[in-house]
Amino acid sequence: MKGIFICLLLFLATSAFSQSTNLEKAIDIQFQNLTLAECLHLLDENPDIRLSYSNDWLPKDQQFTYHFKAVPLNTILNILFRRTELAYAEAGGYIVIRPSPGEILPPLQYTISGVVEDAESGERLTGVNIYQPNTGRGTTTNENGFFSLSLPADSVALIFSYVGYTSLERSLGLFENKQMSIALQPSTTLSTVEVKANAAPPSLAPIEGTNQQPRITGALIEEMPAILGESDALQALDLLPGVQAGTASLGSVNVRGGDNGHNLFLLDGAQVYNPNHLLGVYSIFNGSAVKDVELIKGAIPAQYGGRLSSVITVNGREGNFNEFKAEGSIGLIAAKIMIEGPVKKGKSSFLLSGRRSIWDWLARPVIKVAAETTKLDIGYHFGDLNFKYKHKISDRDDWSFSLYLGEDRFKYFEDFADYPFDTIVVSPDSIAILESKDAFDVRVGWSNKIASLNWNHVWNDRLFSNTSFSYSSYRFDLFVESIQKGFQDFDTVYIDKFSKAVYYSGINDLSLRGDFDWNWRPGLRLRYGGRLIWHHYEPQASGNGLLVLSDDRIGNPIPGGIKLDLKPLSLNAFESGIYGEATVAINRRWQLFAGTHLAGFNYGKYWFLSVQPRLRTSYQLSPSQRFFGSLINIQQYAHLLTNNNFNLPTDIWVPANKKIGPESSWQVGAGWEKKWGIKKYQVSLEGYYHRMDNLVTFTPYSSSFRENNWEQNLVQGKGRNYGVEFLLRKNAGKLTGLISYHLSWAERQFPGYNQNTFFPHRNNRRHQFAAMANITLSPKVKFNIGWHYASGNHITVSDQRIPVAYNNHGFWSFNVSRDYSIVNNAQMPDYHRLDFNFTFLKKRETYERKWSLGLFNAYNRLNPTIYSEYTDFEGNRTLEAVTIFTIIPSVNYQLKF
Amino acid sequence: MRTLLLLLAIGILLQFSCSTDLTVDLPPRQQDLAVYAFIDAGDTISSLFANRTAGLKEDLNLNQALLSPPATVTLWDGSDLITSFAPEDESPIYLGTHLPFGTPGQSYLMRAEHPDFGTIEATSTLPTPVAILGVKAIHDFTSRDNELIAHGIEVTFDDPADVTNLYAFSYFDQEFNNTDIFSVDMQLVDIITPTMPDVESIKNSRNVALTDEDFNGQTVTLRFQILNGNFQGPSDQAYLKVRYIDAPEYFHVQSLYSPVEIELEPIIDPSPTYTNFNQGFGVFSLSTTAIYDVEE
Repeated sequence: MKGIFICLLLFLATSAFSQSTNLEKAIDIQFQNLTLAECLHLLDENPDIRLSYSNDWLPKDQQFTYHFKAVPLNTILNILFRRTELAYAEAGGYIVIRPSPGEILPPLQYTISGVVEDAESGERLTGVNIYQPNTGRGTTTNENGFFSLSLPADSVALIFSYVGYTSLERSLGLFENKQMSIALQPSTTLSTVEVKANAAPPSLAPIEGTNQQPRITGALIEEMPAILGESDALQALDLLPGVQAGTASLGSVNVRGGDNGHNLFLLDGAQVYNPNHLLGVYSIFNGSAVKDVELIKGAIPAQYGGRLSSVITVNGREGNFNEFKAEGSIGLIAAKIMIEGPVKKGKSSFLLSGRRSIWDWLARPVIKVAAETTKLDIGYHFGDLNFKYKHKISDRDDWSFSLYLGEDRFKYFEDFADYPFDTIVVSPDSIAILESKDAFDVRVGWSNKIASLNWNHVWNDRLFSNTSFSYSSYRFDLFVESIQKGFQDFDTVYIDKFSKAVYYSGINDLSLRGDFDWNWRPGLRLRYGGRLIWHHYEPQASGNGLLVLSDDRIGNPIPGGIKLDLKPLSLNAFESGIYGEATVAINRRWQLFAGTHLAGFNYGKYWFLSVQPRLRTSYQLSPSQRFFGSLINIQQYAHLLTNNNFNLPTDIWVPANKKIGPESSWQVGAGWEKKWGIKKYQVSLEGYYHRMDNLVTFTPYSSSFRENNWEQNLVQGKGRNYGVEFLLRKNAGKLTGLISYHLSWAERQFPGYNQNTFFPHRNNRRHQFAAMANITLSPKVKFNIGWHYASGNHITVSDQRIPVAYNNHGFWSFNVSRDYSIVNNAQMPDYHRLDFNFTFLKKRETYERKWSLGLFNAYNRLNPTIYSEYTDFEGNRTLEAVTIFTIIPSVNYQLKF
Repeated sequence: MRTLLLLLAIGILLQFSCSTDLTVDLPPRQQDLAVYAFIDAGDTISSLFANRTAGLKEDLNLNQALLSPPATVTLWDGSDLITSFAPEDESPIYLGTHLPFGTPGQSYLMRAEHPDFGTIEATSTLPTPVAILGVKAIHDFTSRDNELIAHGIEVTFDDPADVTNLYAFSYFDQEFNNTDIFSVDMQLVDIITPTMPDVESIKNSRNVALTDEDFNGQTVTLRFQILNGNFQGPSDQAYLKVRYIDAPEYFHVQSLYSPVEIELEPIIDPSPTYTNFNQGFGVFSLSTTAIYDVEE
């Protein structure tokens, strides 16, 4: 026994020493339909290799065809022996092959990593599917175009596919870790890409790390019918099941029964607090500067936190690395211009895009005519500027800087100072004011300023990181000033009266984030990272001043006007989080994503800590279909206070504190998905239950924000949402499109509301249906048609009158109040509309021209946007619905160079 | 080109907004009791209003009781019945006399019952009066917002700690009359001490209500502006009435200024009317009153 042990030690020691010599020696050899014995014989003919084995041990039913070039011998032996019960070791100058019953050599694994880019522009592509048919393994590129995939050492064929691009098959001998840069060629002249997740191969692969969430590209956004021809990223999301727009398809985005404040909007990694222009008709995401939009609902990975319902990531375009391009377009609402190009060809690029509404410009002549007797200036505009610069330092490093500046501005200025006035006779004293001069100045605006700096680094073939530093600022402000000269106030005749009111609210963020993606070993992938965010809330600052000059003081100038010393409510909070998520391939069919998000939030002397488990799983029934499920918990530390369904810019963000604690939710979901056919059909069915706690709203009888003790008129309650989502997609061919259906319930419970029972949420729309088709009629003409249907949203309508009385020591004052105590007790009529759009393309050598002609709400369905309640002289109550978007034609002209 | 675009845009804009009658299905709603009882502990005769809600198309005469038979409205101190309010003829006004209220901080329950509309209940706590340290007239002062103000009054008091106090101030410039309709219009412009941002106050008719949530337990000086343009300074008979009110009255007044009607605010969700009755509608709130002379 002792001798055997010494021999074994000697054998292992010798083996260990010799492995660094013969077994790792790279050789060239070719097998062509050879049995294992023939392969070993061929190897043995190499004078540097001495094999020891018996033919009796070798299986005879396998044949091998390989062309190894400079491949280590141990790799070759691993490939030859991987389905046998043979082992090998080096001893005494020989490589001894021996039977090893019950022991199968673990297959050698190597990693392929790299990036996938657009062949023409050099931009990195997000969500590209990489698939190896033999093993059924695959992955997708992350938001920076990086991928990493570990496969058994072998001759492998990889398929790279991405909707809108020609699929690429790349064969290679995987006998060592490899890096590659793949360039995919855009497939057609017209963009055909719709939902990026559709790009998966016909059969479902157990895809490592993919969350299988729909991704909408800028190309689709540009081609969809749009209000007044201005395409919009967020309206495109409305096509997906589980996503509801606000009233009449305006303003808010409600995902699976959540509120608008439950969505985490990220633009190049930086948080966006109000993504709307024109009170929600359009989003701030300019289609020509957007690469893609991804919506994550339900199975939110551990990477994200802070919002209960969804994550909506918007990735901006990087610009063309190879050549200069420019495009401009004009529609009925806005004009856009975009230039992009290389700063250093192939290494760095920039993109600059601007958009501005043109209504004030168009309306100026009309206002000039209307303002005969006054100096009148009325205008509204929105605009935004996107800039991005990206620099590829090396194959392993790149960094980018992106900037967004956007605003909405409304102004009303009227000055009567230079115009004669009629004599005004004021009763009862009949005092005549011979001259009066007024001026009125109102300015309202809201703006976003967002900047982010990103650094991507490939540490090795399996570890990738992204580090970003970002700034985000949102601000709403209002300024009103009036001057009345020659104003009568009771018996004092000439008075100069100056008044001024200022209001603003906003939030500023500074954020540092680090994300790591580690393809640790085959079947195990880790994602981990952390974030630090400093929030500065200014929920409300307001002030007003009144200066009245009378008698002898009249006419004296006011030095500097009225000075308002605003003391804004200023709240600072600090948020941090770390996360980790493991993707584990339990076997070839079953994949598990298990992680947690640990978050901390500090506001004043309050600390909140939470552990938020995230669990997702996928079970492959067959190569083309799977079951999936998820269970997640999320905490939200910022509350959006709103009293409307339009996500108005006046909505206010406030931090969680001791009185108004963090919102939290648990969501469980399960579904089934199948793909089939060479046309890449995909169908999915998913059910979910979403429970939310500590939701915040105003107390029933007070729907406005108070600066002092602002928590006092807020209450916290619960929500429960559940439903089923169905999605059918066709992703390739002349006709692409989707059909979606959402059956849902969304309810809330707040103290003091509806007798403390659950009541329907505003967006408790039982049925929601959408169908959209993109038809390529010819290489130059494309047709897009879509139909939306949704049950009407819930509204609050009075159903009785309350006699209200107030007495003061026996003296009574009476009033009649309408009863709105049963909130959301009625439903608007069903919402539906049909949109279509034709795109005509003309391509020349030096330029490309595109006309888009469309019709929004083609059959003029009068979908109510807002409603009012009127009482006529006879006391009859009438509900009146106002429809803003009736049938609207659109035209857009685009020129690309 | 610009003119063409403008004409096109105007044509499209004209298409935009369109109003139509909206018909909605509402579940049937049974009427509820509505009781409004703002009772001052010092009054010898206390009155309250008891009626029922009315349908949207039903005649509603506020001086006419819709309840037949009348409701039974009672006041309770724990399980002890204090009094039963009786209606005046067919009026919705119910009266009670010489109610024996106890010490501040004591809670009372009001119960209204009707065979057709069930029972509703609300509680209120008798507020705690405070020590007013001074009330004086001030002239030609500048507010925090640089507003030049001709006349005003300043009141200083010790707010008791550890108890929530709510105040309703009204200013009179003539001989004593307890009812606020004879008061002079005024508004809160500043809190001199303690130094703090603007404090929320509610101007209801001519009185100003506020809570002590920002200055609980401190010595407070408030400054009010007299809004009557004819006012030339306080008379010899000027006085300040301070009502110590319970929270339900404050919330009721606050709710009067919320956008309760969608006729007024079609975009903002309507707010329900405040009530502290567990079922039905109404407010039961107790108060006590104190009068202070204004020093020149």
